[in-house]
Amino acid sequence: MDKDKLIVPNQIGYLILKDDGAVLESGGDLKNDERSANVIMGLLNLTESIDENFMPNSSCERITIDYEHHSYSICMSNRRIYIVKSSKSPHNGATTSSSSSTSVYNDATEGNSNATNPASTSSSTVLA
Amino acid sequence: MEQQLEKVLNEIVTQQDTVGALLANRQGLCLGAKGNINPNVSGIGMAISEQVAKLEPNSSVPATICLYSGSKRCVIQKDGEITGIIYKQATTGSTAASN
Repeated sequence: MDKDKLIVPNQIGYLILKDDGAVLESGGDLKNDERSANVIMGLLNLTESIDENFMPNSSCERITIDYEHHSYSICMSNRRIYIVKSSKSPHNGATTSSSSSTSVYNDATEGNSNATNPASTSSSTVLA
Repeated sequence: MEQQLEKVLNEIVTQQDTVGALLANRQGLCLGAKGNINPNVSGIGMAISEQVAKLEPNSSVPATICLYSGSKRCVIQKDGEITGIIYKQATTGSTAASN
């Protein structure tokens, strides 16, 4: 019943991995997507040493993978690997990741009829 | 036979911020390189593009991979049999513009 984190605008999925590849958090298109996590860990191992003369080993701080209609951004910070899948068309963002984001609030409002605060019933996502 | 490849490589390296470019075949062997790029990078570049192809195997359009390190970028794209690898380094003028 978790609400999807919003890391970037037009986000359609995200994964947060430990440095050993274990999935810590996930949401949207990438929810529980261990296959993608494994592929990306393989990619990170490959990018560790491309060309010592051009990029020092393990100096790669960001990777993007661009497709026609969406892209993946991969960043490493604080021994965590952050992967965000984002849509290139501005209206696609909410369609695929909204399935779990509204149910929490529906349950909450049913259980407590006094919950009239409009902020609590909105389906907006939390900023990371 | 390689004239066409040479022509493409020459065109790529004349683009702004481009340091070097190479083309690799399916086996990861270097077909041609121009500018300041080690031809041995063709193997790892090919391996990276093959790994990324596993991410969305049903995608018909190949992905473009970009690795960022400071002002440097390594762009990799696979198109059918051939993988292209381009090294780019932003000059001070263009980094200021992009920020």
